[in-house]
Amino acid sequence: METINEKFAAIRKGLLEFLVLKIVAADKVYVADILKTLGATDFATQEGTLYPLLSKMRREGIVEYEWKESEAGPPRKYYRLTAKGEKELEETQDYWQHIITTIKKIGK
Amino acid sequence: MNKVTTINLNGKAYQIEEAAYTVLHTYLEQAATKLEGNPDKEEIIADLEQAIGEKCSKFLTPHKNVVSAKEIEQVLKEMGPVDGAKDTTEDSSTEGTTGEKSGPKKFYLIREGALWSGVCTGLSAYFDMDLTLVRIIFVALTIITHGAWILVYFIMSMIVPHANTSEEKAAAHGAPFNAQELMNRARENWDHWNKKEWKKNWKEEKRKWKHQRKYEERYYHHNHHSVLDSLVAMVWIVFFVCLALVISHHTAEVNTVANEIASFFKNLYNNLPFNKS
Repeated sequence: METINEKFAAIRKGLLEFLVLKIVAADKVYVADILKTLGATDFATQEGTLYPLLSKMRREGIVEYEWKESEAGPPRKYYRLTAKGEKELEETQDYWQHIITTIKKIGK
Repeated sequence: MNKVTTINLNGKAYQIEEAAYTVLHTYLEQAATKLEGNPDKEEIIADLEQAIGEKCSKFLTPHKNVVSAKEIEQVLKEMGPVDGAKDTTEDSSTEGTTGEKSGPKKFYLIREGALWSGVCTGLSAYFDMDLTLVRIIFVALTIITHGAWILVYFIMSMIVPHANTSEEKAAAHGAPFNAQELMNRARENWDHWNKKEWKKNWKEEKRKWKHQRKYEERYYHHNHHSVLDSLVAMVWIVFFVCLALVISHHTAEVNTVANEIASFFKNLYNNLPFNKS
């Protein structure tokens, strides 16, 4: 039997971009910060997934980064939301709200 | 005592054990394959290298300047398998957070351990059957069909693609293709053979892959499984259909040949030691 956790694996993966948007919108962040924030939740993810996702989001123009020198080690990418990203986040949040309302309304 | 190699991770040098190097090299190579066609491939790989480097630094102290194979495994486990841009949506349904038990199976010819063309080895991997059993079935089918099965065999050996890349090799066995699995397989090999032999085998395997990739790139113009591939297959099919037509016009001769083959096997069978009464 599939557990609830397994059943929702695909949904969690699909929602990852939404959550990254939310995290980046709240504050300028490094990749390590995103991983740490997500690490404490059901949405825990890894570099292997996050880097390709961030690069896709950057290509779509919803996030951008600047290089920032860190005290220890090489300069790192510091991500923030673009204006387009803000709009995207707003739309996604509305849509998510819409989905939740629909689920609540249907059936039992 | 293990040999140590120096590697460059996004512009910074690290000293790692040779076994660690092989695992890391495989991981990055696999990442590159997965990101094929992604316009940001180089950048993502640089990011991954940097992240790996930073994770390695955690294992280094003024008194310990080498990263061991175990530590690299730990690092790569933290990194997780690299998501390909092309198949993210496809994978999401099958690939859980912890990785699936088995990947999609595909019928490939497998050169390793093959007697002739790799049809039997490929089928035995595909059906999880004993290789000898598959061969016996093939011989039996040849006898039953009066030799016509040999034609089918040749058609298969012509049109079924060879498992060339490590990804295809994994698909031939239906094994998942991710870093974790690769590491497990590498580890298994490490345990089974003694280190020297393993290293030799690994190097040979790597050279083979490299050679095959070069061959592929030269002849398929960087277009793996391209239109050309299917075109070649089509040409072969047409060729064999024509051949079959020609043969059907000479049924009498074919029958004699088939009978001869059949009687050869019958004779062989009758002359087996345990059939002599």
